[in-house]
Amino acid sequence: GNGVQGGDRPEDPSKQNLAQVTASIQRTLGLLHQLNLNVSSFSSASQLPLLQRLNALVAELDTMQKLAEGCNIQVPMEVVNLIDDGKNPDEFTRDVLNSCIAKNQITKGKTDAFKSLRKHLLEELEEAFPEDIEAYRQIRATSAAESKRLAQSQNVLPNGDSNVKAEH
Amino acid sequence: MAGELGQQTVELGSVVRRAAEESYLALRELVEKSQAESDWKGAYGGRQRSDSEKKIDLLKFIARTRQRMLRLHVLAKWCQQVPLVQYCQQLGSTLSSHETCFTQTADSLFFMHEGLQQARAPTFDVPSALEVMLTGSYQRLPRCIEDIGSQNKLSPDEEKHALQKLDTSVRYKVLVNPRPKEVSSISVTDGIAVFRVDGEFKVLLTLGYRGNLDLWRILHMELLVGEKNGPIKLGEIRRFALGDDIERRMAVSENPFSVLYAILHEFSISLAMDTIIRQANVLRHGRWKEAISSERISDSTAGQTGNAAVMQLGQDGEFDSSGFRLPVLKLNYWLDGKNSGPAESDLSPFIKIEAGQDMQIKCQHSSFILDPLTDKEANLSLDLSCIDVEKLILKAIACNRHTRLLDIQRQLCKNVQISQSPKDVILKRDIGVAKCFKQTSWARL
Repeated sequence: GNGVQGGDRPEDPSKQNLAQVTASIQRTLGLLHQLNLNVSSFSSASQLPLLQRLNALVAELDTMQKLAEGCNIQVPMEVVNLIDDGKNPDEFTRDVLNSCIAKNQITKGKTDAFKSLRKHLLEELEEAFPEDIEAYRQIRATSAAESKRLAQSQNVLPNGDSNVKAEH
Repeated sequence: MAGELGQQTVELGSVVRRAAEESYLALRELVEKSQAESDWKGAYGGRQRSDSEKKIDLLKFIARTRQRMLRLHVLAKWCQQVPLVQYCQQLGSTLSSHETCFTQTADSLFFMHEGLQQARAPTFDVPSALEVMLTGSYQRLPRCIEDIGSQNKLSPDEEKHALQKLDTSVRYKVLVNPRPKEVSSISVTDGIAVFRVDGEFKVLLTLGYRGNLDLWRILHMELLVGEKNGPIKLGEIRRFALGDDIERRMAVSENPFSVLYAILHEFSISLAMDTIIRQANVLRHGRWKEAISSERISDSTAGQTGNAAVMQLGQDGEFDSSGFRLPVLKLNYWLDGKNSGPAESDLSPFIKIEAGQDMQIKCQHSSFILDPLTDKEANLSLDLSCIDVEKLILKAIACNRHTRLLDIQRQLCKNVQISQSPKDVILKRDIGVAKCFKQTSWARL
């Protein structure tokens, strides 16, 4: 079967190609299975089908090879090793995802720390220099509105905090 | 962590191709082996494979290839997740750049924190500002401005004005402060007071010791004590040292002029005495070799030879003239040549030069002598501005001689009839002012 998911990606051609290669491999597997049956229960009558199947196998291998030429997907070595070791390559995917999440958490922590520092600083500064802070706030508000407008016009993917209110 | 995952990659296509190739080659190998067997049936004596062996070989091939294909299949299936993995990697790199930014921010904040300490507003001098605002002027200048300010020079108008003010102040202070009566003259010009004691010293004073307009500063000092070739020069270093000392004492005294006078007077007198003694020694070794003898009588302390006079100080550093003893000089003349011992020289007349209780140099003759010019007791004195001991001795001798001759005349008049005749030789000596001295002729006695 076709296991392709989500076809809105710009790499559609390579997705198709991958699908074709996969299909070819599957067919090969089918052929091999049948061959196995043939050979293991060999009789004089099954000689012709055997030969047919062998030829079909060779043909399929050839097809596979041709299809593979258009395939330029990069596969991490870790995955290959995992498969060779008989493990599930999804472990790799899982590791990648986890590390990404962890990094994100770390950075979020730093972000939060900086935010609280900024808040604290502004509070203290407001006590000491109220007019200056007022001027600063106005400048920040205008520049934030400006950058928001720009981002929307460029259709940039918003980050998780895009619903934050105007800079205070 | 995620940065290291997925660094090394292989292309799926090449893996697939390789796998296919391997399988195909393996199959071909098998085929060629069986073909070889059938072609060379027993030719090489190679063992013919039995049917079951061939079957087994084929099955092995199938199994291996199947496994290979299975793995390939798994790999191909996995490749559907590649977009996800790539996305995660992108996120990871974005996060890394965020981290770098944060690190840089933290560093910048730290440096700014350091820099803020220097950006503090300076401590403003509020009291002075208040003073200026309220009174329009200030009493004290801060130290630094004082240093800068002192290097400014006044404009000529300002200078004239300031000088006038200074002159008034100096005059006032000179009038108000008591001064010793021995000061010969005192005058004030252009803010400078000139103190003069004839025969001793002359000093120029003004106000403004260390910026204090109530205290005196010495601008110039010179000695009026001198010999024939002029007044004695006061060396620069000594002049400054002495000046500093006097200024300091004047600043703390209630009677600065008497302090000034006392110190300089003592100095001049000591210098004068030293000069007198020196001159006497010179005479004694020179022209008057056999004719005079001098003796120095010094009491307790003091009396150093040479040009420097040492100031004697009391215990508390206060100037104490009572403990100061100047040497006394005794000059004998008309010596009796045969006498050698000091006891004998008591018979010859002498002049005693000493600084008396009032610290003025006085010359005293051993016996009463009459001055031919005044017909009164001779007043032997030394002009300190031109110290000449020889002149003193000559005067003493002249007076003494006159006195002796008068004495003789008196003696003669008492006992003897004196008659005069035109044949008498009259010896006259014209002494400036028309006074003659007649020598009688002994012949008539």
